[in-house]
Amino acid sequence: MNRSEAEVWCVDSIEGSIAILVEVNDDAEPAVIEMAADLLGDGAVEGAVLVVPLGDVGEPLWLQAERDLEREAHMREEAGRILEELRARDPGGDVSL
Amino acid sequence: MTGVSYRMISARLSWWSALSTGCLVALFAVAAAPAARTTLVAQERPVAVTFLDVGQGDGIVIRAPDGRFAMIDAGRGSPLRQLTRLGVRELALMIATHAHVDHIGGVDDVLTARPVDTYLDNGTPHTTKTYLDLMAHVERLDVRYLEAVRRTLLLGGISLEILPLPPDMGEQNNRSVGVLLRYGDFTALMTGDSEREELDFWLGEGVIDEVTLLKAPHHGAANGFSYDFLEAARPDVVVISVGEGNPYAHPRPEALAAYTSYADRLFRTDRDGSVTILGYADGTYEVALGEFAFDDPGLKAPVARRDESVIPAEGLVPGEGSGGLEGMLALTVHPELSGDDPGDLNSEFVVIQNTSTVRLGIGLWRLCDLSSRCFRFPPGTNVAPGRSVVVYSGYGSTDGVSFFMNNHRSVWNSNGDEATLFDSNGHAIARHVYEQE
Repeated sequence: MNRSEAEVWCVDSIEGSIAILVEVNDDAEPAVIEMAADLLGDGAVEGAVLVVPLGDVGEPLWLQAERDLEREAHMREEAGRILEELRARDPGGDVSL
Repeated sequence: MTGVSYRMISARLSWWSALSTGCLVALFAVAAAPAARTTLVAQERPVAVTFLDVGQGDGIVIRAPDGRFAMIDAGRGSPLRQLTRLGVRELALMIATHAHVDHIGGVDDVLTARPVDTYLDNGTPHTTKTYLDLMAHVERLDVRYLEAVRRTLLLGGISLEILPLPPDMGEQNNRSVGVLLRYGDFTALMTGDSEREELDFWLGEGVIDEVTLLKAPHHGAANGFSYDFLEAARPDVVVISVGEGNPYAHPRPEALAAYTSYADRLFRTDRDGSVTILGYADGTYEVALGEFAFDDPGLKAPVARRDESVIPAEGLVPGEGSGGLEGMLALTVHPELSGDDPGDLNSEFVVIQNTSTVRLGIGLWRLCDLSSRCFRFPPGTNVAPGRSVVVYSGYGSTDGVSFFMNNHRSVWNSNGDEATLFDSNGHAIARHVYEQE
């Protein structure tokens, strides 16, 4: 799928029947939307990265969204790398602030 | 928490008024105690826990007694306007309970605009851009990082006990950082979006004990409580951080029923706006609604600021500077004629009726008898047009309309007495003088 003809969204969380999604883009403030989790099919999983094709007028075609496991793993690895770096700053034990 | 329930202590000078006198360390007030006993009560500075009205999400500011600040979550959008209004210029600690956008969406702005000394999170990676951008920001900053393992953080007279995280359950909610704040006998438990699995884990670990204040887990969701959990926590007051008209139907009726079956008082940010609980080391607490400045360190904060903040409703007359209020409130004393029967003290009461056409704020006002035995109304108390509030002499818990002086002896002399309602500046607003019939 041509990425320029698609949007990438990540499932932030699932609240009952509602999915909260955060757009993956280069903007400083990523868009956040809520939608029926059913529309996402197997992609309605917290942390899932979804590639959503766009229609003729640029509308996201949610029913055709596909989970991008490779990208998902990459983002998880990046998060893990940062966390490991940060853990090195943790002095351990109780702390007086 | 049995026996440490919410009560107004008429003897206690308010923290703000104490500060306004410039007496920061040891302030003493003459107590108008039951049976006209005179007692000296030491005044300490409280810890303030403010649940910001951030819509659907969590944003909590903790002001330690020494004036330093910590924050737990920051809502979905930027909370900077509120932090500015509160006077929060820097944070000793920022805690991100978990990586959902309604909890960490505003953290990046906080890190950008306020110096933060220490950052703590659940160490559980997420894949959203919100989370990755935030973590990259934390990595760039020269902040101390702490992971949420069982440990205690000390901050200006309070301790923040970080509860152990359960084994990874695959989702962020059940890896929410649990924080138990202790300040003497005052305790507050804040647990992000914990669901029943994490609450059960903590029960199994034996780390849940009776608390004064509970932040309702997961915005009052049905999966954010259990009766076993509430039986262990037995909160006096519950605050639900929740957005008005949210699409998740938070808080759920079953959760509300459960919380109100344990707690004396329940507040919701969707209805009450920002909610501040002032906790004192003796385990008592006071409540202030609305936003106000903590100031540094409150030296110039007038009492007036408090009423303005706790009664923000449009058209409402604040409880200070009350010129022109005379005649708008009517007092009627109903003395107990049968004597000092402790079981019958609530048959003795005073009715305060708002005879005007506007809502009247009487927070921090005092109702006193001729012997200067007084009852002080909680911050935020108001009386709707044409409505009344009732102050009983005996024991009970207030519901905003009925108030209790918690005396064990009769207050109003059946042979004749005088009831006076003073505003927060000490001006007499209404009076009822009566003699034996």
